[in-house]
Amino acid sequence: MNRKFKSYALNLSAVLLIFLTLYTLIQSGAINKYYAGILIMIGINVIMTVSLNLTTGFLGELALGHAGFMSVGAFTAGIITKQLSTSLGWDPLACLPVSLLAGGILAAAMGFLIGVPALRLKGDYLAIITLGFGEIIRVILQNMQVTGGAAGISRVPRVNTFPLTYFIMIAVIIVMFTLGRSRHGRAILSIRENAVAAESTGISVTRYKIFAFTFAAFFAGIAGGLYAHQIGRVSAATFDFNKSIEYLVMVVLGGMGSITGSIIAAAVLTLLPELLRGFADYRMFLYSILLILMMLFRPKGLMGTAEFSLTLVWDAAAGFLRRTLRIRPRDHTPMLPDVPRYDVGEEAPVLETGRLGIRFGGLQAAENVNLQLYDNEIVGLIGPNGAGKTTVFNMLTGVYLPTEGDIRLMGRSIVGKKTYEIGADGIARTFQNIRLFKSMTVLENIKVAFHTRMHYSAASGIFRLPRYAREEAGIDLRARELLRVFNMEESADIRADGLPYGQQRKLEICRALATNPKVLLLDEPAAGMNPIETRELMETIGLIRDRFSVAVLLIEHDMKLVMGICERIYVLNYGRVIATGTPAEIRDNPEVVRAYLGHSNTGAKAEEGETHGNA
Amino acid sequence: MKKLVAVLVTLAMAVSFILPAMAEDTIKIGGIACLTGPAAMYGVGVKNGVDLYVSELNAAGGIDGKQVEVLWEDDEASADKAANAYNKLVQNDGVCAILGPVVSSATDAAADLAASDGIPLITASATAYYITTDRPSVFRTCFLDPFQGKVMAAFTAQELKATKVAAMYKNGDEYSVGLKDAFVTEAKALGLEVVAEEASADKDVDYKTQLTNIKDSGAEAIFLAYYGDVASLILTQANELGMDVMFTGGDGISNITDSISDKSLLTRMYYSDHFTNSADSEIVKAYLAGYQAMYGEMPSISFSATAYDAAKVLCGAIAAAGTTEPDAVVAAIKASSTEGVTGTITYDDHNDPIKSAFILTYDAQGNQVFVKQQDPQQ
Repeated sequence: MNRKFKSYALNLSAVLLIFLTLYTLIQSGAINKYYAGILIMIGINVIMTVSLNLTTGFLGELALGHAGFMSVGAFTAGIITKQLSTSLGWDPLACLPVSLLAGGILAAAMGFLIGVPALRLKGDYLAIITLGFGEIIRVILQNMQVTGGAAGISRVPRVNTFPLTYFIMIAVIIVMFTLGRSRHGRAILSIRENAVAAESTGISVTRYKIFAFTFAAFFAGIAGGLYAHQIGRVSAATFDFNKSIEYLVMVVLGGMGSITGSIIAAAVLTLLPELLRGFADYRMFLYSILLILMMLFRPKGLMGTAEFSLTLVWDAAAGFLRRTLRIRPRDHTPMLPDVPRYDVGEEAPVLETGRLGIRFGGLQAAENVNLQLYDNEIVGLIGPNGAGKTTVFNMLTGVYLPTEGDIRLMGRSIVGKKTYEIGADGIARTFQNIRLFKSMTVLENIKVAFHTRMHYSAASGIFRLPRYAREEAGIDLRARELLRVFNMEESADIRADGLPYGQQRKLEICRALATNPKVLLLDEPAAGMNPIETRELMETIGLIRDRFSVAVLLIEHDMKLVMGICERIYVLNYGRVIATGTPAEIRDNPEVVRAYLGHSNTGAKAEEGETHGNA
Repeated sequence: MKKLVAVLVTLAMAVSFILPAMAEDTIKIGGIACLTGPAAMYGVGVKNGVDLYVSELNAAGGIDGKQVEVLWEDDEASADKAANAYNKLVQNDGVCAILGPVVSSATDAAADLAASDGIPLITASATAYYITTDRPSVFRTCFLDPFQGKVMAAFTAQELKATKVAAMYKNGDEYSVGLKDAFVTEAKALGLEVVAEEASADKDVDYKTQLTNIKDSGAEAIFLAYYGDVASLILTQANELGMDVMFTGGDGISNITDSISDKSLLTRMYYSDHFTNSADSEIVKAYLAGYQAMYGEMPSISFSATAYDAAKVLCGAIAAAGTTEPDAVVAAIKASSTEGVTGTITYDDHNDPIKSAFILTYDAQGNQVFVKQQDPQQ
């Protein structure tokens, strides 16, 4: 709390000091209109860069049409102010709140529209959509009567001021910071890190992509509105592909995912061309050389993904208020990994499939699969490669839609639900190849998985309302508690990809448990592990049975592990269940031996099992 | 923190830019032009025209014994860079007047600032109508798009005796769309049948689709609202399609000789311009000789001539006012009558020059041929 208070004081005084210094200098004329104009352009470009960083840096989707949103905001705001002030005789300054907001909202609507194709696309394909969309906006604006056609609109009252730009810029920066540290921000980050894993923890990738695009577009629209009232004229040709690239360069130079980096880069790249005016013809050359040098020496941008340590004004302000007003004494009562027992009778299975099957074209990948999982039970799913084990997992988690049969979770069918819905309903999974949110810390990995259990709105997150503070504090405790159960508490603040392999697997299991699942699917958790790591894994899985109320379904080739911890085993071959029973029964089942385990007299030798399984 | 850095950088910049004491014996004029970027050719042409006049003036003793200095800033043909350039020139360098900018959108941004500061600004090339509207201190030395559209429509009807015309233009380009609209409006008013209006996109190199449409429409003359580089492509491709039509165009055509390989095609091209090399007057001959001497080549675009005249109007007004005080200079420009290389320039209520357009064509070797002079009254 002391640290928070310090950072609050630091940030707020820095913001005010800079403002007062600049404002006094501008008012006294020491900073003349030329420099004031450049400062305002820096402010506008900071808003553009920081907002673009949301889609490009945080969401991780290359967006090549950000200038298009800016132009929508610029035209909307410009036209509204012009109309209100000329035909209704309003004071242009009074029109500003209306027109800026309208510009932002219309741009956000465009961002929403562009987010919709994101339903299906990502990466290069989405980048091309954004590029096309930006150009469409430009061409439409160039051909509409109301936007003045090719000439654009002229004589927008130039009523933008330095204080207005400065404080809007500060507000946008604060919102970006607070958003980034809310559950919504974490959800967006997790999509960048690993969309498949994010989906499996119950995060709707589509919804958050649209959210990020809409949000970024809103701020770009506001920046556009400021631009229109600063320059006094708007023509669509200004906001072409090159302009979008200019902002992208600022984001990349500052460091994708770093807000402070974006601020610095926007300031430097706005100043640079003006500073280089004296070099006349060599200007463009020098500008390019400087860019190349900066990228050579700082390939991840000036800041990488790091931020300056002065933490958030609002955060600290809230903390300070809380402390002085003693609104909420901190609650330190330890909560045990809250996994409530579900009221399921021992007889009723938690998860049940009935005649489950799927056909890919002519290939029957799974057929007539009947599984029952009871609470607090560890069940193995084994079989040779290609037997359809992962296919079953993919059907259970909604990745594939079964062509026949039914899946019932707690007695309710989940067939046809989306992956993230199933994740939220209570089926969690790990992956054959570990899918962590690599550049996030261990603790953050867990917190992402708590997403569906938190309920505060984006607004609560951005404005740090009490509900945000309450839930975040609670989740922090629970996440650490969960890590403690698995003996990983000391690793809480290191990056996930800094963990050793066995620990990464453990973290993935931990993360799956954090979604509060009723069923946990483990897909070859021992793959790639050495014997020591495998032993630890067995302990971990045992721990799950002891401490959590969850049914575990395990795919594994390591027979020592399977035979050691599973209570029941299903054996799958050619998409059919060929045997089911206790480990002992399975070991002695001749059909299983023929199909999978091989003729060595015991399946306990893991290597043997695996070799024969792979044969 | 980073804002602090920004402030420090800004302050350092301020200190380094604030010039020592302003010399009293020179008159400082600011020049804004697109000296880099795709429109650089026009910016450089304008700069050359202004620099030529000012060097001649200084050689002849300047204004009342004071030398004239023109400080140039690049606007890259963008509105925000033009605003920065204007502010730098007026605030940091203390210029008393502005010549330029070149393209209409950049000129609009700078002119708006000049109008609110009362600083005199003369553009040599912004032909859009609204540039000077309600801006008492803003002037120009070129004629307007509506005027040349009118002139060329009349010429097409009366001299080329065409009845069916087509127009080609570049979508999204302010100059091109404005000029095309002016031509089409007037052509319809004169009873011509506009059989096709074909648009192209920026940086297109193939115009055969549009030309084929026009060919099918039976047009006898095509109005090209383009600059010379594109017009030369269109002339070449129309020839390849075997089209037997005449071409007309506005002042943008004036640099077509730079880019066309088959000069004989140019005999089909008629366009309106601010200036003609072939005029017989002493003043034009002196201008061409001076340009040749200073730059080692003939001026390839007519904006060099309107820029020369803009400098002449401004310097003449400063001399007449006897001061660089903005209001006095503005009044002097308004009242001026200047014998320029593009004709006699006087100003109307809208701060536009009352002057003639020259209709020009070429011979088969690509030499400019004067066709007729179109006065504003007609």
